[in-house]
Amino acid sequence: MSTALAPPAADRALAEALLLEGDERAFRELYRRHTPRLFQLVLRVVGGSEHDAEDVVQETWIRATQKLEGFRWEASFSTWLTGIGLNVARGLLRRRGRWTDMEDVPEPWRPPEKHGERIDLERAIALLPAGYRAVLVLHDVEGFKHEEIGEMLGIAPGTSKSQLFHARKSLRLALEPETKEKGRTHEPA
Amino acid sequence: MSLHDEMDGELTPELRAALAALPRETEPSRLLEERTVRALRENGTIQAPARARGFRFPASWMAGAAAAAIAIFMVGLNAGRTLGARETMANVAAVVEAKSTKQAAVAVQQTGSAYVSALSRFATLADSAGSSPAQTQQGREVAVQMLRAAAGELVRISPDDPLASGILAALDRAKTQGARAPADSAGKERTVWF
Repeated sequence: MSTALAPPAADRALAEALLLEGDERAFRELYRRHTPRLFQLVLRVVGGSEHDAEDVVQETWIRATQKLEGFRWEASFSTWLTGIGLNVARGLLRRRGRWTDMEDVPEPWRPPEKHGERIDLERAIALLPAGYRAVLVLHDVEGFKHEEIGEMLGIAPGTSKSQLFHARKSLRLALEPETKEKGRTHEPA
Repeated sequence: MSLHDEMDGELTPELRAALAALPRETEPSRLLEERTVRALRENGTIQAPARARGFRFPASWMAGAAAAAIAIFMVGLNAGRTLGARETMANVAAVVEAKSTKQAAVAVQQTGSAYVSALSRFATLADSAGSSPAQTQQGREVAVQMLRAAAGELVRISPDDPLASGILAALDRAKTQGARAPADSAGKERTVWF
């Protein structure tokens, strides 16, 4: 992360320089400050494709700069940016038929064939249905609350809780050593 | 017990710890930043910062640059002798003889270092009291032309490389502007210098 400005300028000051003057250096500072986290989150949400994650991050910044004027600074810049990134990621997954609108029902899902070996946590997360994966990453990895997740994904907090419940159950199934549950379609709790 | 508490129960302590230990940040490719900046420049959201230091290359310099570059190649050997740059000429020979990408990459590194060293020496001399403005201008033109040629080759290697294509586009724009500028009578003499 860049330390070019000392003391570091506030996100808001950088955003204003970008907005008012088209200041490239201000943009680069904002970019370097927030992109590593955004990229990691998006990378998980899209299922581990760096190429897709890069496309999403680029589009996120383009949309963010377009919407910056309307940002009220009631949330942190990072949270706002994350919301835009999730929307872009969701759009990409939806175009590929990998995102279904979240409702309070579990998505059909089958634990991966493990052939006796254990899979690591990142791989297990990547194998989850996209909706489960997004909620699990936002809640259990990034630490967002269900209300925040609901706002970012356009769902009710209760739906987020329910999705998380199913996501965690699926994750445990994916990580467990092969058992009699192998190959069983995930059932509603 | 709340619903949230029940859901917390779905995570074993080991799984909770493993999730907590996952990295929160990953640096994407440096090219992504350049790609994004380029897209934002193209849509007019940002403007490139003003060049605050280093050489400034007015568009008019570009008019004679191509001719100067050709002259360099024509009398390169002679110039090399004049400057005592035997090592550079050996590097040029190594480029021609390179039989692998590794050898070629080494040659690029060596000749690139020679280019930068020569430019540095030129900058020192150009700043000295006895320097000729015409010769300084001529040297700058040649430096830009070499830079453009290098960027052109980089674009050939990686057409999607935003850095190389950005440099090339900027130099091409400057060249176009230079071509629109009135002809400079000193420009024709520049080739003689080499």
